[in-house]
Amino acid sequence: MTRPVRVLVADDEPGILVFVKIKLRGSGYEVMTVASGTEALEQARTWAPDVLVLDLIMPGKDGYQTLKELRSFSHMPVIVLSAWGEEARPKSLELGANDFIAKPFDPDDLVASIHRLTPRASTP
Amino acid sequence: MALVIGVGLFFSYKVVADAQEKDRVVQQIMYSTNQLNNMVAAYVLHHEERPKLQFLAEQESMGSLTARVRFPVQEQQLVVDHIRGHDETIRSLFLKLVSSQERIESGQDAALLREAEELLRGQLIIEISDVLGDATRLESLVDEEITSTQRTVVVLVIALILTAAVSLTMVLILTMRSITTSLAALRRGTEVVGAGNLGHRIGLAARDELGLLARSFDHMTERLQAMTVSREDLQQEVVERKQAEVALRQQENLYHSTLDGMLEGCQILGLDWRYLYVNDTAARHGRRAREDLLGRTMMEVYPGIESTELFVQLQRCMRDRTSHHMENEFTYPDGGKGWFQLSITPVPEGVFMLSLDITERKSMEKLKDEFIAMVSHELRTPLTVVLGGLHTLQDHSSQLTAEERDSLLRLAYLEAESLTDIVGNLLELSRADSGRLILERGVVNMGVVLDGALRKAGAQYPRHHFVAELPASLPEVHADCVRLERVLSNLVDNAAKFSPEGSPVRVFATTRDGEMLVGVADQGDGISAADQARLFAPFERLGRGSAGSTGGTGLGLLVCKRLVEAHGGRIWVESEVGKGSVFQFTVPFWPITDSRVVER
Repeated sequence: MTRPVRVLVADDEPGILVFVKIKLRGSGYEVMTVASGTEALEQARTWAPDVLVLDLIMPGKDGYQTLKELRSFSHMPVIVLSAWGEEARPKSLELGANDFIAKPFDPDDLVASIHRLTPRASTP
Repeated sequence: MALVIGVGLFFSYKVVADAQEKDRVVQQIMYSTNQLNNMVAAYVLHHEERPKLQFLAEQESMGSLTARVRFPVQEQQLVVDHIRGHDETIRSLFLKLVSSQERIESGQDAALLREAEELLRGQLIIEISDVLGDATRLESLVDEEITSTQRTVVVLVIALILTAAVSLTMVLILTMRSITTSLAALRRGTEVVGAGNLGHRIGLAARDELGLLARSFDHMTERLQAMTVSREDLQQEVVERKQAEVALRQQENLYHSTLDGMLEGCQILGLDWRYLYVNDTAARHGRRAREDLLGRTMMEVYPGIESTELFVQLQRCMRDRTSHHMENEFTYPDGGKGWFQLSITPVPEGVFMLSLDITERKSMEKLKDEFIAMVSHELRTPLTVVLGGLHTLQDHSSQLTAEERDSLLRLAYLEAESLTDIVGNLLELSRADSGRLILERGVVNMGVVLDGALRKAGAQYPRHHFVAELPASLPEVHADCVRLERVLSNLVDNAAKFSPEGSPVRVFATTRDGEMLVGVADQGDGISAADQARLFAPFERLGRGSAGSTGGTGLGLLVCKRLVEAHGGRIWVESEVGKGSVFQFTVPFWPITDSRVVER
């Protein structure tokens, strides 16, 4: 009846996209991966994801920029991934992120976070 | 002289007095003689008893007179003696005359007696005449003596007058001379004293007015000297004090130059917050001229300082008299900032503040922090892939397709290699910066190095298009093969990372001016001129935004620079925003025999 929870993952590091996609699909999510902020914003409008997993460091439009623009039209939950460590957490949350995960991270933590932010997925 | 004259005069007076006495005696003699003559005549005429007695009395008085009188002048005495000689004769003649008369009266031979009487009378008269003659002669002699004495007296008086005149003149001259001498001594004394020699004394012994004046003057000079001596003492003291002052000033200058030469800023703030002392360094730290600080309050110089932590600490120090140490970022009125390590200590005048400029250290620390953040970021990304991939493989092994498993393992492997590269770069940097970088030189074929770097990059960035451009024959270089490959790998990695997938990355090598030129050209976004300047600086990375931008260039390029320079070559970038970048470096064919360069 209910469609699977859609997760949009934006990261310029191909290696990360590969295992995140495998992990999330294995956890029952519908996953789309993009490599830039611009693409992320575009898919956020068109593909209607339930949650956005956003890397901060990307060429061109970075994570902060993307988050700021996204918040101008959407309240969808956003989980920020960052290789900058904990110091990037305050700014991310300030800009409207719902959760913050520092790299390197346990893929299970990402799944738990997505699960928490998308309650309807828990009652399939 | 005057005494001699006086004595002379005295004797003269004596002579005159004697002469007068003698004159009186002579007159007496003459009178007595005349009396005798008269008595004889009277007796002869009358033969009375009375003339006879008168005669004898007169004759006796004259005899005693001549016997009594002593004439000092011999000639006169001779005359007197002569008179005395007559005296006896006259007496005997008169007595004979008397007896003859008595015999006549008694009636004896009157005629004969008369005749004898006449004879006796004649003899008597003759005798008396002789005496008279003698007396007259004596008178003339005495007169003569008086006259002569009177002449002597006149001469003496004239001599006395002359002597007196001469003496007076001499006395006058001497007195005048004494006065002149005294005056000269006085004048010289005043001159000498006036010239400043207060030790001089006129020392005039004279008891006159001038002597008194001189003594008064000497006394005054003495007083003056005493005062002057005390003044000289004072002056000496002043001189000593001045010397001490000079010494003190020298010492002070020494302190000042020492304090001014100090690396630390020293300043003293008064209890009223006025700057009491500021050394050069402190003025520099305050970015104000010393004159602009001294005497003014901190609040005047730095408006709004009351709300800073520094002010709070200073206040606490002033109030509690306790020392504080702190690191403080100071914001200048123009908005500039500086970091200072401060020691605040209470002093009687207020607060003493020692400041050390740690802005550079702080910025180095910041750069180091950023570098560590950058390195940690560079490590985190591959670690994430390795750990995440392995985690997924482990947890979902059964659910994964063979293709997915291969993909995860391949990624983990590549990222692990990338980690090795990063760690390798860090080690190289650490070696280079601590002078432990030793090249292991050998004969290097640049074509082989290029192939190795490109093969690795091809595996990591499969979607990029790597192109090698090499001339038909390329000379070998004497270099460290492993280090050159690291340089090239770093450059290629950067090129691939910062250029779009599918775009070409061109790697070329050629010879130029006796050295090898190697370059990597990409078609990425390009780098601005400002960024280019900072590209190879230590701990520097491209300012593509703060946390959240793509990092990872700093470490690699810095290592490239160190390794190329260790070979004696140069590295630089030519780039234009929007047109891609070309990183190039040179390697001399033969190493420059400079251990400094070799062992960087």
